[in-house]
Amino acid sequence: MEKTSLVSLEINVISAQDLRLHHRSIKKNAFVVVRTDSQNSCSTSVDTRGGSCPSWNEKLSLPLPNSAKFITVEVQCKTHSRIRTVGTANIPVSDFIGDYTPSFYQHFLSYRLREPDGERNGIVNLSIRAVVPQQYNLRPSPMPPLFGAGLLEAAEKRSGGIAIGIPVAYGRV
Amino acid sequence: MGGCFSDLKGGKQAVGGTQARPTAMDKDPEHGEGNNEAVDMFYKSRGLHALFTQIELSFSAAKLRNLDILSKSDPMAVVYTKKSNGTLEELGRTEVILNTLDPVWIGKVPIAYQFEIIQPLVFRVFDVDTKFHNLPVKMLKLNEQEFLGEASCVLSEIVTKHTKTLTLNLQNRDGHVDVKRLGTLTIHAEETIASRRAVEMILHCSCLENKDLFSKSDPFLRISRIVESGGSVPICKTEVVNNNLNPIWKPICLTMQQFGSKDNPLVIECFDFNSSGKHEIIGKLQKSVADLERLHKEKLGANFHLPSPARQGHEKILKGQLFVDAFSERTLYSFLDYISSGFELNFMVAVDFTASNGNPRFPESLHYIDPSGRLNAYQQAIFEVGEVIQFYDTDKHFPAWGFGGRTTDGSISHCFNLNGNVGECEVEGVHGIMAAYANALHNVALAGPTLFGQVINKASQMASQSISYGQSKYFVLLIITDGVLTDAQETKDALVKASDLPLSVLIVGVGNADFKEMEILDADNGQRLESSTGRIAARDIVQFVPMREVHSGQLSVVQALLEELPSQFLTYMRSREIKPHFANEVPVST
Repeated sequence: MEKTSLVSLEINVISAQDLRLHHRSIKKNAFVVVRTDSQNSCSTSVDTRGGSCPSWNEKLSLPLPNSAKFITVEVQCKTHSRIRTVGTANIPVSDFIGDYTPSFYQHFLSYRLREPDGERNGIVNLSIRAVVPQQYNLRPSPMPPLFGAGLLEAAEKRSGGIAIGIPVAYGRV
Repeated sequence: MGGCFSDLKGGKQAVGGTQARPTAMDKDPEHGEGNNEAVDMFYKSRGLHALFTQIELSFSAAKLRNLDILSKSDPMAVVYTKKSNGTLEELGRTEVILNTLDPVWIGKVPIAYQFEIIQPLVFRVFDVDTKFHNLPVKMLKLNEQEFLGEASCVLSEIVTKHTKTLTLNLQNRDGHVDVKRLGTLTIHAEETIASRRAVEMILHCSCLENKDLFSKSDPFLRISRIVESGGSVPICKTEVVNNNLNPIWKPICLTMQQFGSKDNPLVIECFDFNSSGKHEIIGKLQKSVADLERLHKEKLGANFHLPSPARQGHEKILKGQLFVDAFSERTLYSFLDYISSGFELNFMVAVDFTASNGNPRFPESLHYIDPSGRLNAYQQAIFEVGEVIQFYDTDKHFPAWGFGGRTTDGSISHCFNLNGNVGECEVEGVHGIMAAYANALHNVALAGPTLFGQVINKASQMASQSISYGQSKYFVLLIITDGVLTDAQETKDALVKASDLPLSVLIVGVGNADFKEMEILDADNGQRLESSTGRIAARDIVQFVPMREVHSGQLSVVQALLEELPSQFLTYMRSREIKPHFANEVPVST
């Protein structure tokens, strides 16, 4: 079955703080890769100057597959020899779609980055806005969305288990 | 300076300038907190208030009473501020206009507008006798003049109006409305900010000299304006970047008020930070804002220099250079710009109904309603905060909730409507909140535990829903509680979600509990709140004040609670580039 995306995301990767590799602050060359699924990803340019607090202020545009439950933001660093992952954050789609805000709302979000072994790293700051085609305007629903209750630590398990209220996916197409 | 316990972190913070698009994202414990913290301390320690805005009042009147026989009255207006003990203190007076019953005075009276207090004003109009017409206005003795009428209002009534103009009916001195009509007085308020223009820059340096022994210099910049007398006045200082000879600092924003004009020379000095307070100068240079703009366009660097130790009067040019990575001009609208253009503050209240307050029937209870009329802590907080904010809320319909109580259906609720009405949570006016609160004490049994999550989520829901109807409402939730939170993580989760919305949460702690945990929510120490899912608060939206702490100082609880509100409001608006309505209107060509 083909994964269609009605929604695309306008993501502004703003900055990051307190980035560390092997417990030491990184010196430079950090960049961010944003992934909405295995086929859709986009990265920022490399920040050569900001050190452990780089800033990019770059806009990325990615389609959001209807079935996506979260998107992945990965901060990586170009060292002499290779590219290392500093930390990853999994952002549940429910944090920016399906809450009571209108679809055009620009969400300013920040997340704790986690290393592959689960250790805490720095913080990544970004803003996300969903771009929805006119006829599927996501009016905030009167039903309370299921956020907050029993969300698993997103980094530890890859399966989200998060309920999203995108009325679009059901019965419209 | 530099005693054993000096505030090192505070000393490394950026000072001055102004905040253009600040967010909690600037609050990095390593680099120092958001720009305004140190500035606020600076002002407070000198008894000034950072968040006051200078306003000028101008006056006109119509249909004044005629007291002269052969000609018309010669009126003059006087403005007083009414102090808390009821006495009046004169703020200023206009000039005398001869022979008119509809004067339009030119003389303006300056007054500092403070968001967080009620500023009652009294206006009196006098007819000045001819024999005094040659005296300077300030020498006139008012008890020797003929009284024409008096009016009073509160300053926020004037500044929140779209036209910033208020017309009042003049009355007799003792407040009685005379049979004879005394005419009207019109007051207009204008902010005296000359220009709202500001400049935002990102500066970095290269090849700075190393002044430290075992590590590299810890540089910061200080920008000063040269004044006519030849000296210089510092206007801004960047944060300190540790151990770096090629530092890049966070964006700095300077208002036109601070640098004067784009051609005014500014002195930029680079220092190496020393915890002893004796910072060593690395180099300095002199550039105007226009020069800095040119440096940015041409992507050139400017060399620092130092007075040469060897040759008198000569400057040694250093290798270190200053670069301007980013330069942009912007317009910074003030809080009053937004308010008078139609933006509103929506007030909401949540009251703690947990059993730790004590049985309301006994006088020791924090919920005891004193028949003598003395307000309990809850009533005081509701009344004083509501009294200030109500002027900024046009419909005065305030949602009011209780939490931690057992309602009439027998279940404990952490978000029940204070008015007892299942469908509708709003009450009318501050008196409506007080009445609903008193009523609820009869119908709701105190229970527990102390949980804020649900009321914060409810407030977030209302704030989110209002966004669909335009983004000119900002919500203020006042939570009054006697106890420590049972589930701090639940509250943090709710606050993290709310940090992305047009909402501020004010928490007043009443009673004698140890509120240390609550102070963590306030995030004034720079630690951003983290939810259980790893999401981090986008901005600091909480202000917490324990009621008992404030009685000793000079600030009242309300002032301490409300003083951060205009800047939290501006942070939200500026970070989303939301402008006052008049800024979006297409200018009509004349």
